[in-house]
Amino acid sequence: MDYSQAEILQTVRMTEIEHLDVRTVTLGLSLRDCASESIERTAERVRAKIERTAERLVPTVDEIGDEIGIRIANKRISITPAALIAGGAESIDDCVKLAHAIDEAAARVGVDFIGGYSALVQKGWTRTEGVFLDSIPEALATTRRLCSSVNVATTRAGINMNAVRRVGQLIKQAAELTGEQGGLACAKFVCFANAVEDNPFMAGAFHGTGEPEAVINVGVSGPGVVNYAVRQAPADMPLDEVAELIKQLSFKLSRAGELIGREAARRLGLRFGIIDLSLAPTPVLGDSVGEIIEAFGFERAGAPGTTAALALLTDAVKKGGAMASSAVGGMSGAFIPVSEDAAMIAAVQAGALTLEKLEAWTSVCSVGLDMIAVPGSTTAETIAAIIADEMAIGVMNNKTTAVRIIPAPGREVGDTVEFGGLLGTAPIMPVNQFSAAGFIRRGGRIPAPIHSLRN
Amino acid sequence: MPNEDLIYRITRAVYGRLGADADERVVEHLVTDIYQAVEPVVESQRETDGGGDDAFDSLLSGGQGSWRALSPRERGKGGEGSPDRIVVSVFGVDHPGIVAAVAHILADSNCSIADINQTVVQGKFAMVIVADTTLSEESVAALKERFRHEGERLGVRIYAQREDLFHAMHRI
Repeated sequence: MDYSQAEILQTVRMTEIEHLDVRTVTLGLSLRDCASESIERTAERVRAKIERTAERLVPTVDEIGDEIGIRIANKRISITPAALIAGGAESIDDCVKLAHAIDEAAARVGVDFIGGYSALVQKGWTRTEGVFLDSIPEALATTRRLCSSVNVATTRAGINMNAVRRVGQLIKQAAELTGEQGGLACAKFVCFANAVEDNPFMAGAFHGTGEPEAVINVGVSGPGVVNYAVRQAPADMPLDEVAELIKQLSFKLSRAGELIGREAARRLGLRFGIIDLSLAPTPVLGDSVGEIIEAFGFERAGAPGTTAALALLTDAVKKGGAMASSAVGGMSGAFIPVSEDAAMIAAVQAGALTLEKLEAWTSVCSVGLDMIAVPGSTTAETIAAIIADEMAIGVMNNKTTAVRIIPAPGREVGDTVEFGGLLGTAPIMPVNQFSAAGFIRRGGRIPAPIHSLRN
Repeated sequence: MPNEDLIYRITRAVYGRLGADADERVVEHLVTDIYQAVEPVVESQRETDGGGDDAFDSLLSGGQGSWRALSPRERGKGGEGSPDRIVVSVFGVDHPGIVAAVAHILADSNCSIADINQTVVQGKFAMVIVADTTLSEESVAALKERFRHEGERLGVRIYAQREDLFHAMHRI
């Protein structure tokens, strides 16, 4: 036999017991050729193109998952940042029409999310983009599948503090429009520094302008697999050996993901884009990044030393992925969405994990402050200030950072908000009560950093 | 199904003569011509060899019944694990009839067993079968549903996954 029984057992155990899945197969689709002089015409062309290109996506991907024997949890679409094709939009209503067309097309082809109701405004915005930004709260509140993101900073451009201030206000509006669902619209919105163009994961996926017509990007996950392995390893295993263990596992996960991505691309007649190996937790017990961190030897996620552990974890995952495939892209690392991770929820409730510790984590993990619910009374200025801090970490360290924060209307510290499904349950986290209003009011731009004299 | 091993060797020879920069279309035409010329001989040999399954180890994933010349990049990859083979793994408490039941389903759906490995350790049954599904007309989904059903009846877990998954995960 070509494979040993141990190898076969390992694969079966990973897929059947340890929740190894392909988290998403995301069709990246350019809509730039849909732009036209009127928003009605653009919306119609967008609808037609999405439905035409993605028609076979869901059944084909399901078929492949069944054959190869790995669950493919989600089928999604990412599109050209919608602000770029909304040239004909004169008003918020115009933009919302486009949002509805995108959302309806997504429903028609059966994907669970479609990302790319996005704008890239790290240095400023055009007149259309200004209208577009204002339309985001209503667009998210009146659609189900649509996800939105705004890039407000890059290492080359610096941080657009006018955009940061505006995004703080948009998040508040979005929360209030969906107050009855705990501010659900905010769970579908991400604010980025150094956004990536080929990210397959939601809510921040969009199809960048440097991308081809249509590609298949794959997001693989597997915190359950890593969690199981670290827990099985001896408690006194030195950290370099733990890193090696994680690296080898992430190699295997990446290879499985690439197989699925290439097969999906071939059957759909599209190009294969990238594989993004990111440990992304789900609310399922054991499928948790928080639990992996605790398995390193911590009482709770959030304890002193957990930033170092997360740094090791993220780096080992990246190394394994880079060895496995030449098509690694997207985020590739570890996600820390609080509401989607049982161990992190418990750590917040126990007082072990705070917003400040999460911020420290984001300097070494792949994205940022993710799925964090804060009291509804949190001001737009404070939210903008939290975003500014996170953007600074990304810009200064030349990495992607993001904020997905939910100021849940009417909720206080100690409450929880239920979003359901993959989005999970968010405990309301305390926020520093001192004001940043004066800083945020200034607006302007934080200049791009210097790339010498690095200390 | 065409003899992919042979196609692979012809492709390699053609590239060897023309160099890696050769036009892919020209190579494809040449390989097609050569293969068609030798195909009758190969087919008759296969019949006298009694099937000759070993010659069918797929070297590339050409899809159902289709095949094409390899690009220079693909030529470097040998033994990718075949998309036409499945690995059936069965685990559970040992009792008579498990091998027979699984083999019956495979035979019934026209899958031939390429390799089989079965052990019992302390009453725990473990079996791995590599089966070729080339001639099967049943969909993998239908086959898996039958395994699930049979597994429930036998009190064992039966999993079926494509062979190339194992190759991807466990071979560099």
